[in-house]
Amino acid sequence: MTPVIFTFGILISSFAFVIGVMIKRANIEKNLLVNQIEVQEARDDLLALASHQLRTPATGVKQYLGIIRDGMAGNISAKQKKLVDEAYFYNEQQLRIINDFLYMAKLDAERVITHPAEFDLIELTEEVIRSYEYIAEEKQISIKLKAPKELVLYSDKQCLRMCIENILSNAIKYTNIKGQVSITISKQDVIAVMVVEDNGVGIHRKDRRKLFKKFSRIDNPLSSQEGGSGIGLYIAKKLIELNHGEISYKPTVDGSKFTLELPL
Amino acid sequence: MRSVKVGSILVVEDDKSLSEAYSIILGSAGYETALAFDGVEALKLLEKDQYELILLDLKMPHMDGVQFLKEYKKRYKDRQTKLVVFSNYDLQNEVKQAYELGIDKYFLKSWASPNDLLKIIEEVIEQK
Repeated sequence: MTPVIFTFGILISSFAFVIGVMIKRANIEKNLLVNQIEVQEARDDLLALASHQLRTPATGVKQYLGIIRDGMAGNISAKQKKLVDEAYFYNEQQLRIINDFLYMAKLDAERVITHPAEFDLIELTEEVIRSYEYIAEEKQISIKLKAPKELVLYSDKQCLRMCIENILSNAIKYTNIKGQVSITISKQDVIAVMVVEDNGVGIHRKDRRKLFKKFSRIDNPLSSQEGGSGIGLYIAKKLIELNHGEISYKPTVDGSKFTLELPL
Repeated sequence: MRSVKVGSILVVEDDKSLSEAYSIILGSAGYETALAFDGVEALKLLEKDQYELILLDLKMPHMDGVQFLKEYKKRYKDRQTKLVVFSNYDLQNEVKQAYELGIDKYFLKSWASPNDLLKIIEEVIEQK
């Protein structure tokens, strides 16, 4: 065998070896990808099923209580209305926690798709305020809204609703009896700005860094009395960012100030 | 085939208790409702009657919301009936498909109070 043929033979076998390794690696990668897709699909199915199983009973309670509360099944007394309001509020709290956990799971799996559409931010904020009136009244907290008549946004309304709910809920939770929560909405060029201020217990300097992190329940004089999942602000930040907006926190002299900025 | 009756709504929802609640809510605002518990039943009702709006669940046995919409569009592409879809499942792909099939509105069932539902229906019906 001449040296040329020998060298050529080595080259050919080396080439065949490299091709063989590449094919094997491609097959492994393909199998891994198939596995990843299967895991993702299984996770999506589980999330979809969990969302249905958890939400449906509470949705039924909401509809039937709402029928009674809104007088669709006849008149009720003021006392009965107060009791139904209370039941409706707690059912809403339960639904909100269910939704927060489902959204957290979806956000972690990067499976949240937004459905942007035009809607009036002021109308949405008024709706959210109405849904918290009951608990605010219980704590004798006044909620003041200062806003233009209308401010139309192009964004995902459900995401925005969850953000505003989480921020307002926190403001009410961490404000003492007879306190005050104010919401100011304005238009600044092409940005809608919503500022939620309270004169509550505030957030200690050492806790501010973890404010928007998952499961970051923060110790303060009211946290042991108030329930909460510790994911509300994490969800709010993620959902705002998905809608190309920003959320920030600043302490005030006597409480907290959260600012939401959203493109129009 | 009868002509469209103003204020008539076909509710397609497999949960009978929820279906009953929606019927009470819509009835309280003067809407006349017909109930179907899956897509197949809904198509049967549509052979006899036309409605101003169809309120459609996405996940149902026998024929789900998207399958129903495909069949509905095939059979009645010229009808002006408004289509509102809702679900408690997080079915993002199905929602996207439903919009591509021409629905007027989607909302999450658990979000809507009775008054929210009436407001959505009113808004969709008023849309040209």
